[in-house]
Amino acid sequence: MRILLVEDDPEQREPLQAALTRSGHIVDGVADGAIAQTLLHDQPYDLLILDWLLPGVDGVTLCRQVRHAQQSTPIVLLTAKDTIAEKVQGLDAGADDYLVKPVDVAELLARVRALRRRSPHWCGDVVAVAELTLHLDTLQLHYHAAQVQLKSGDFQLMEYLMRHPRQVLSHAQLEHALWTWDEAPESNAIASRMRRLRQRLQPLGVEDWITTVYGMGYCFQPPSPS
Amino acid sequence: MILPTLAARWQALPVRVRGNTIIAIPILCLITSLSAVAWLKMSLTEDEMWVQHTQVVRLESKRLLNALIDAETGMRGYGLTQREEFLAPYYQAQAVIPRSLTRLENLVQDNPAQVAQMQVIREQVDATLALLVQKISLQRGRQQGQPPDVNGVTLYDWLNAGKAAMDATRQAIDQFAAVEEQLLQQRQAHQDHYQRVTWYVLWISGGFGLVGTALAIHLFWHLERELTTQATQLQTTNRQLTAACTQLERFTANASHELRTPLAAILSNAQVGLMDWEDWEEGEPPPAGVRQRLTKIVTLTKHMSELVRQLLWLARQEGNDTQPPPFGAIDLAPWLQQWANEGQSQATAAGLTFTAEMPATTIAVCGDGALLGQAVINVLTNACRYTPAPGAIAFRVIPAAAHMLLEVQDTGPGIPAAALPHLCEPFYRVNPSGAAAGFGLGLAIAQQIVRVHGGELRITSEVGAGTTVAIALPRLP
Repeated sequence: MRILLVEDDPEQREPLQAALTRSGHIVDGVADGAIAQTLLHDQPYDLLILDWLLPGVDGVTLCRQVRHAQQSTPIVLLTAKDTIAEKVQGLDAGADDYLVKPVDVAELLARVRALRRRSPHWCGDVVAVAELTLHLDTLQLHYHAAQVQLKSGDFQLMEYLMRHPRQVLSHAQLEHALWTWDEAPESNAIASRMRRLRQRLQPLGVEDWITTVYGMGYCFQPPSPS
Repeated sequence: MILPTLAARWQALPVRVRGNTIIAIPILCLITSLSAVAWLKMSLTEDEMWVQHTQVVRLESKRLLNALIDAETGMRGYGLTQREEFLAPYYQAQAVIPRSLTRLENLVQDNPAQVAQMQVIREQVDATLALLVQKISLQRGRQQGQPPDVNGVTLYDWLNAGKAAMDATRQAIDQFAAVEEQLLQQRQAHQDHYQRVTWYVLWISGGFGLVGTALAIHLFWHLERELTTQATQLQTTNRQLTAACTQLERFTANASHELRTPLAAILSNAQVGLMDWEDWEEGEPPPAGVRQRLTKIVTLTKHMSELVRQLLWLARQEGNDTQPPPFGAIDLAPWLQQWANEGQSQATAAGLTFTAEMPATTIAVCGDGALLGQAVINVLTNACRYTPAPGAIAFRVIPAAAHMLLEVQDTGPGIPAAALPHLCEPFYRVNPSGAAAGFGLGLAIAQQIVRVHGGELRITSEVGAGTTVAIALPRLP
């Protein structure tokens, strides 16, 4: 999932971003409400995690703007404001969940998973192409009886490929989808990640399913049933 | 001496009692005058009755006398003329006299002396009437040619006795009438006296009524004024309470935010660090992230510990407000130099210019140098923190006659007038969503320190021009 995390305190933002990334999400961590606004225009997100008090535009205003634009993206408000009135105000502004700081990381991750299940695009906690199944909760890849455990980066790439099978995906497309807003990929970054992923897939014998389309990009091509 | 005591007692009474008293004053006046007038009126009516009664008695006694005289005159006329028609007044009187006597007896029944007198009168009248009857029968005998069975001497005696009886009767009736006359005079005098008293009482009660009404109005106005004052005071207290409540609400909201923020960071860092640690397998290089996270946790915990220390200091000081700690006299000069040096180093680090102006003489104040230093450094730190480079910070010490003024002036963005009264509240921030560098307790602590030294902290600011924080401390001679 692509998540936008808006939190002005770097001490709090960084560990949450790390935890969400470990769970296989691509997380754009932003300190400023105004920057978050710009990013929301550029990129579709699967989930927004917003602090209330933010420089620029505050979290509740952002929430209202998203709902005003008729977007149903799930929103979690993560704030130190804890009165009932504030919770009501936050939820009425359009948030789907309201968490009071300090929040347990395990709880936050569970709530993120719960909100993913509420998405209209949800079709189980697995992505399956042919016999190959990718488990979103455990980051495991199963093929017949064999299985491999993927690391976060490899998982993100694998998920993206499996969600777009039999399509030629350009370098630019992959960069846009897999890199956070504040990172610039090095020139051979995609090639090296592909190489590493293929290595991880070797135990399952499916590394050939990823084909390089020379001069264009990559394509995830499961063998035809024949 | 008595009047103020009375006024104080009156003030101390509950409003209900005072209101009742105010209403009771005119009502009491009215009731008193009404009953006095009613009593007097009753007395007057009684007097009138007695006067009338006496007059009736007098009239009746006069009628009796007249009847007697008529009877005698009639008898004499008959004696001279021997004609029956002269006896008409005599017969009339004979009918009138017993009735008149009975009526008089009834009228004077209440007065024993007059009853006795009536007895005498009745006897006299009976004697007179008996003599008259004798005379008339004698005359009749003479007329019919019967020889008189009495001689000349006896006749003369009779005539004399008749005259004497008549005179005695007259005298008795006159005496009776005189007594009644006297009674009448007495009763009239009594009636006049009561009439005068009634007037006096009416005037006096009217006067009392007026005075009572005036007093009631005065007291009522007084009470109304007092109640209005009380209502105004209540409104003021209410406003103050509302303000205090709002401030407390703001404080708890801000305190919860300030305390939760580092806790949230500590918890997330610790949990993510643990996850990293669990993922680490023997043989792999130790995870660098874990060390970083532990370092962050240490920093955050120290930060939080400092925040808790400052909060507790404030809480203890605010509880101690009534009892300032015993301070000794100190010379501020060396301390001022130390604070100026601290300000200089902070300003330099922030890329600001720093100027200090202070007198060369010794400045004696009563206080704790280290504590005052914390207040001054807090103010200097704020100035350096919120003034963008390249700006200027000026630290001025202005000795006045009774006070010692420490001024810190900056060229920062200034503070809106609406925020000025709240600046010294714990955790108050002019711009809540702005990046926060400190805890938001610096000015609250500075103000508390200045307050326990008997001084005052004043902040003046102009948006766009800068802010001046002035600390005024009482100076020792």
